[in-house]
Amino acid sequence: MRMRKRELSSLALVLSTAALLAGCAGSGKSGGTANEDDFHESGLPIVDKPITLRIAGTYDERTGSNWNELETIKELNKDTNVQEDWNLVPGTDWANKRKITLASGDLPDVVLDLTNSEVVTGGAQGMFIPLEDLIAKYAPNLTAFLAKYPEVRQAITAPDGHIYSLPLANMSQYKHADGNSLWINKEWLKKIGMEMPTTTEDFKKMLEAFKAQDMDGDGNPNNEIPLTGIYGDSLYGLGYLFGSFNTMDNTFIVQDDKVQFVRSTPEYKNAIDYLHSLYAEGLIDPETFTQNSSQLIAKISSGKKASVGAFFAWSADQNTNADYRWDYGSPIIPLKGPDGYQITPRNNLQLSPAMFVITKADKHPKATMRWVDRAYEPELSLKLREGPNRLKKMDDGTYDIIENPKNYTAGEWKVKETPYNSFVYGFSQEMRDKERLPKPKPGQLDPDFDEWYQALIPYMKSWVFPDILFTNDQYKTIEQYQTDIQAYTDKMAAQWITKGGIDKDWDGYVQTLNKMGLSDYIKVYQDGYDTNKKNLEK
Amino acid sequence: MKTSVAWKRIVRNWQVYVLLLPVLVHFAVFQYAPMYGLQIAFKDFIAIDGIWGSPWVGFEHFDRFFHSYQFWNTLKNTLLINLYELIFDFPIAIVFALMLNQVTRLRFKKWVQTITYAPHFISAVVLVGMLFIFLSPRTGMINNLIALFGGERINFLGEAAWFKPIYVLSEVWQTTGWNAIIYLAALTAVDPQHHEAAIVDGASKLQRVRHIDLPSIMPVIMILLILKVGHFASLGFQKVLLMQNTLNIDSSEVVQTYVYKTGLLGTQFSYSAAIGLFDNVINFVLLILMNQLAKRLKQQSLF
Repeated sequence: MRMRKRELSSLALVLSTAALLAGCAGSGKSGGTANEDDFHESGLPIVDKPITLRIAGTYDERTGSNWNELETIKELNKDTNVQEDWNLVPGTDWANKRKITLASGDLPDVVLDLTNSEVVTGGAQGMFIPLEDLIAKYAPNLTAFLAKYPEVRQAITAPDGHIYSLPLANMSQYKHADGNSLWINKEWLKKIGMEMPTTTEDFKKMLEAFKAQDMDGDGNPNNEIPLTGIYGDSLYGLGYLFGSFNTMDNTFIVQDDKVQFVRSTPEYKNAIDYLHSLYAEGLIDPETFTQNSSQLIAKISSGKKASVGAFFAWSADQNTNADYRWDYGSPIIPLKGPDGYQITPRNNLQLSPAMFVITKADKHPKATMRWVDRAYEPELSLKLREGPNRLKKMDDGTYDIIENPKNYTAGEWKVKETPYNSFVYGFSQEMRDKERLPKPKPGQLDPDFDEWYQALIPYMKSWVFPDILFTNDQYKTIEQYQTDIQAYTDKMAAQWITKGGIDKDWDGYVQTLNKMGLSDYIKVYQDGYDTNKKNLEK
Repeated sequence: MKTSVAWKRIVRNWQVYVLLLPVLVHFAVFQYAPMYGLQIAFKDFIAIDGIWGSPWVGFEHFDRFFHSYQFWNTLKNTLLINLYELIFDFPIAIVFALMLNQVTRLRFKKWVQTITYAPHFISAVVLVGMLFIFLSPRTGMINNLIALFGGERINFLGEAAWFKPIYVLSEVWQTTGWNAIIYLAALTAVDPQHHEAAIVDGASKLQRVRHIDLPSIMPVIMILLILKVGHFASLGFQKVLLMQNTLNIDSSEVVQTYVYKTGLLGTQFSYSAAIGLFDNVINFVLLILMNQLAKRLKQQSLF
């Protein structure tokens, strides 16, 4: 019997060790339990006793992760008695980290920057609380913003009628312009005696000349990169050229209320065919299919002068070396295709519906709502979006723009002291109009200027699939098809561009897609679109 | 009767069993306890309901994977890469160890050993970065060499056909030295008397390697082979994922990367758990088969 006892005690040791480990796994809750009597429905502070919100999110690497030190966050917190314990991870890790956090069920009070499907699923499962009543009662700034832009309210309302997330919204019109444009080396153009190309044919001729001649003057005519980019990337990808073939480089587009899967249309086939004709002649950098954005940026910004023929990006200004960035210029408007098409997408405005959710773990939802509503106050929104350093308030209510000092790039200066696009704000066209924006210098137009957007308007098509929320079941279906269909079509397109053979493979390709469930995949998007349209008409 | 005898022996040597305890606890807590999570492979996992609370769906996820477009391709790639590793990577370490064992100059031997196992300490990220630089179609030294001799530049990482050779060769480069250590250790245990007797009998170096060294390390080889086959359907996914791109995806999508993409990135936790479980079942079956085979061949076996 004595021995038994020993055995038992060793078992107890095992169990207590296990309990200890389990204790480590469950993280300690912070903040304490301030009761709701502390809370003030209006005025400051929001709560009498300071509370701390645990917030998980990601950050812009130019800003850093120490948000409590940012001017805009300090202003947001000022006199509210609300503090934050920011748990921020770098952008590349955020998707993984977020998914694991949500799956583990150990939730912080607030989660930032989610996907639409996570918001709807989490809302349906009760992980995130519905916010519409809180917004109506405690968020006057946001309510005013949503009243001004009913489409934003529509975009954040889930099909079950609840609002589970708060948006990041930049409703300035210039954001309709596509983020992906083409930049061409003007010095090289001068050398070969050509004008900025206007058709796909001229463009090809230009690239051929870039390839054939010793453009960089190093004595070797064979080491020029005529055109580079990143295959499959929305910013640095080949999407710009799709407009010349009457289509867009999107998964789905909507024409006359009918949802189309782009990658099984004849227009798409023509676009890929053209890209192959460029690749076959060695005009596209083969590393387009293997490099990532930092490798591309290193490629186009190293050296003493502009060293590639052409590349795809939002702006040459923000990606290349300051010494020669304006040696690159853009045709701006789409090139005219062989059948005369030249279109560009009229993109959805910069609207992330799933930017801020309050979880069921939050003990102070009212205070959280009052606190975050301050970010939608017009002036603070302006600062969050445009950077407090850049703005100087004038007597007439407009804001003068302070140029970046020498030791900052334009991008770094803009995001200094603000979480920028990793937090929420509600920015309107009105606010943009209040900024005294500098006029572009000749030959230095880029998509940050309204003039760029104006130039594109005549070519814009409103085919882009709207920013909508699907139902929980619809998201399940989408997830089921998305990964495989995306991977298969990506693979085939890359193969066709580099090796050709699209004519031969096309029928089999369409058949495979159908076998993979393409029609069900399209139907979910069509249903989502139809429901959304009905709701908008209401 | 018998059990009480065993029990008495345990009691008599209780101190030994206490020493065993930490290992048992480790396995119970970190290896067996998490297995209860495996059930989500047969469930529709909903985070808020937890693992126990999610509804059962039976074999639905398995069924979907078996009928998926990716099924044969991922499985084929995983098995093929492992097979190539078995053919090229596995024997090279043995041959290398046998050769190194013949080197009599100690300093040279140590020098070679250090150089060959150093690559083992390079992380996958750095290694793939090096591959990108060496194999770049424009500036990489391999392609520069090819061009120098008038050949056509090859986009190594953009060709599906090149993926597996590059993967396996870089694996050989990285692991040969390290894997040889265990064989070298086994070789030091070979009784020098055997060698002396063989020399007296006039055996050549090659004959001594064949008839003394190789049989002596055969048990070690067999054990390592069985273990290797035991994760034949798995691959360290980090390196594969880093080397992957749309052009080589046909030969680079393996079970582990697919699980990562559908499970973590696509948030289909149950589906990817089912794939992972299926993968492990294959591994388990292969392990048992290999072990039986080893027994039949009257070789060392695990159990």
